[in-house]
Amino acid sequence: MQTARSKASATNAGEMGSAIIAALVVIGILALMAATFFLRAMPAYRTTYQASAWQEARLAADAGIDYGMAAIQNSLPQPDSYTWPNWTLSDGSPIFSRTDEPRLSTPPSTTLIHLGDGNARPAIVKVAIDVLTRDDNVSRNPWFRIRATGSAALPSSQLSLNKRDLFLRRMNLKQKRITRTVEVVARPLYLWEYALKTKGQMVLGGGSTWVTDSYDSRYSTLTASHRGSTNGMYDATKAGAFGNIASNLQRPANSPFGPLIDAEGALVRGEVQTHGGDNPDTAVHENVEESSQIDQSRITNEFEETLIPPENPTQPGDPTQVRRMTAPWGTPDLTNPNIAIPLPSSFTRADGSSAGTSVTNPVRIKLAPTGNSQGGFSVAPPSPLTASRFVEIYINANLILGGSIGSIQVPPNVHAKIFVNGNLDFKNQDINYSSSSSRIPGNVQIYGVSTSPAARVDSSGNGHLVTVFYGPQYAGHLDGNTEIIGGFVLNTYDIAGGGGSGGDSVGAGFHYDEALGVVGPIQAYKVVGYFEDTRKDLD
Amino acid sequence: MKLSRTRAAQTLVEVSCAMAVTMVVLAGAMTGLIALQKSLADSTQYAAGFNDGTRLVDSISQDLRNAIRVSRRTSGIATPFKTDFFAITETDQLVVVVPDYYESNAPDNASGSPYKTPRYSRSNLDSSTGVTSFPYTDVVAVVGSMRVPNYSGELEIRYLKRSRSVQDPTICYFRQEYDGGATPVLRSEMEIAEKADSTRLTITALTRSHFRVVTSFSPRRLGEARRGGTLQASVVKLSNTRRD
Repeated sequence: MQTARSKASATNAGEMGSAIIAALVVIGILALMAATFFLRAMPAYRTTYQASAWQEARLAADAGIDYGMAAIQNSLPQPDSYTWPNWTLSDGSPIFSRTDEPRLSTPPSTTLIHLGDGNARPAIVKVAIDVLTRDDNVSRNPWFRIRATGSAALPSSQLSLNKRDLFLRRMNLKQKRITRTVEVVARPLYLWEYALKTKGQMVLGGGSTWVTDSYDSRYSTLTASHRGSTNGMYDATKAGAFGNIASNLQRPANSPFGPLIDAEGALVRGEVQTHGGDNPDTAVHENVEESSQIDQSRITNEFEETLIPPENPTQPGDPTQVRRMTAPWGTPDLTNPNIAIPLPSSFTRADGSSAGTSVTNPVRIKLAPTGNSQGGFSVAPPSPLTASRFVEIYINANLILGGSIGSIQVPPNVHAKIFVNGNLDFKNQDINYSSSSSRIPGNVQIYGVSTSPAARVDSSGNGHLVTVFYGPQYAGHLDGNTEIIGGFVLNTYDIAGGGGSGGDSVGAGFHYDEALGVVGPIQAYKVVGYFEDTRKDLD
Repeated sequence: MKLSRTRAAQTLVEVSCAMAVTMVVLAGAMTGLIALQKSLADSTQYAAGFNDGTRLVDSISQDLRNAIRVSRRTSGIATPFKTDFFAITETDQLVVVVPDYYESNAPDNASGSPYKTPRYSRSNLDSSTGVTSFPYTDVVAVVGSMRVPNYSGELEIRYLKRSRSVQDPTICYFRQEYDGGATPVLRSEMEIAEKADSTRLTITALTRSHFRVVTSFSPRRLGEARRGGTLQASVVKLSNTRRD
């Protein structure tokens, strides 16, 4: 006889059987769904992860390039005598002077502060720098090549959705990582690679005859590959369109697009570059105002350079704040009474003594003028005339031309660096333009070393300035019909009046000598070549 | 006992109800399964399309960073690409010219082969002469008035969209490498995306040195298509000075 309990148990047993089947079916369906989900989702996840890791690896390689560039910038002003701390040759030995061999470094793991998204763990694997070539000027400055390899981790050794990813991303699935190698070439950037460069505002000369163009004092003829000159001097018939200008002025953050250079309708035959300001979504170039006489395809907005003032050679300063242009002067100043013939009467030399006949190169003269009307001066020619003579002149006052010797005359084969610790006013006088002068702009380098916020350089009338000037802290007011044959680096530039032909002149404006591209001290190193090595064997 | 026998069978009404409930449940399950299958196919297509788009953008971006010239090649005639935008097709191709960086462009996967060796590898320096760097005149070119690295030639990379072959009409995107020069020689061709009928790849020249690369593909469902394709975009800056 069955009890009520056993009857209930029998009923439950039947029901439980059905429930198990139903549960199994449901579980099966859910398992199928889950399996399908993971089957599809996991490769998609790996794809995304691998693509992300691939990007992270390049960013790490680029960071390695930055690390190398920082070391190269630290090597200035004399890259060949830099000791390269934390870098060694391939055999582990320290870097010796003027070596071209690869120097290696592995940045510390903390170099990349942001360690990537997820678990990609990007790292700079290695950085190598060697000398690819050397400049063909007297300084033989090195062109550096930097090769940096970055890596990032992969989550698994399985391929993603598509084998094509393997070809593009070159993943090392065995080691579960991606490496990418980037190579850049960095070359010396010299001070005067532009006709005119300003840290701030730039307002060009108006009028159709005010022009910026280029020539090349090294060549007598104009060809397809270079511009020419006549006896090394600018000749409009041999001129070219590389009188480049640039401004580093930036727009305010709340108004990123708008004028940064006021061209005033001037004819600029060259690149016109600003630091931002051009709206990419519009056809017009908002960054340059009144640009009707400028080739619109040569207006860009990607200029970005750090222009730091030149060092006063008599008062060596913090290398992060000033750019060294020559070895610091010792004391007392070497004085050569034969530098100028005749010497301006208002100058008194620092020590008044004669250096005799056994002077060394460079001859260093400190001029301490009395008053502000010292006028110009001439530098004595070398003996013999074909020899090179190097002269450094430090003027511890304002330099104001005019007077009995109004101009500055520098004969051929003399290479003069003139440091002015004050304002400059060229008035309507000539520099390096007289028939006895070399008329090579790179031979007369003028540096403004004043630290005054009101430092300025002026000109007016019909002067001819065959020279180069570096003073990114100086306001330039080069008015009138001033003809500048060379290149200027200023804080700001504007012009009042002018635009005329200027008498015997070659035309007001800037006539850039392309030979200046390899003249003078190095301002910085600049990346001029970028290539990702996508064929190298996997690391 | 009577009670048990009564419980052991069902009435017609009970069976009918059970069948009805079962039918409803099965119909729901079937509908769900069909929807799941559709969703699975769609998500598979979406994942593949998204993956292809990523690969296309990444491939072009990688080449553009190395570029020294960028052209639009329409019906066989290439012109510098500096403004405007276009969609890559078989006859409207993107041409990215990069320096001829390697010793050879004939594919050779052997370790250390000329295909993999940079032209200015230090192993190419003549150590017997004591030379420790390359001659300036070999390595440096002047573009305008700016000095940049010089390479003896150029490698032309073309992106195009066309059927895989005469026999296989599958629409694919290809990346082709040509040795530059007057009569470019095709060195390699790589298929970088397939079944790309609904994929659109456009290039926009924002400036001379900035390009926007955009891919889009349309999901299969009409309702989705009406919402527009899925876009992926990247802005790339050329790292080298343009020479065109």
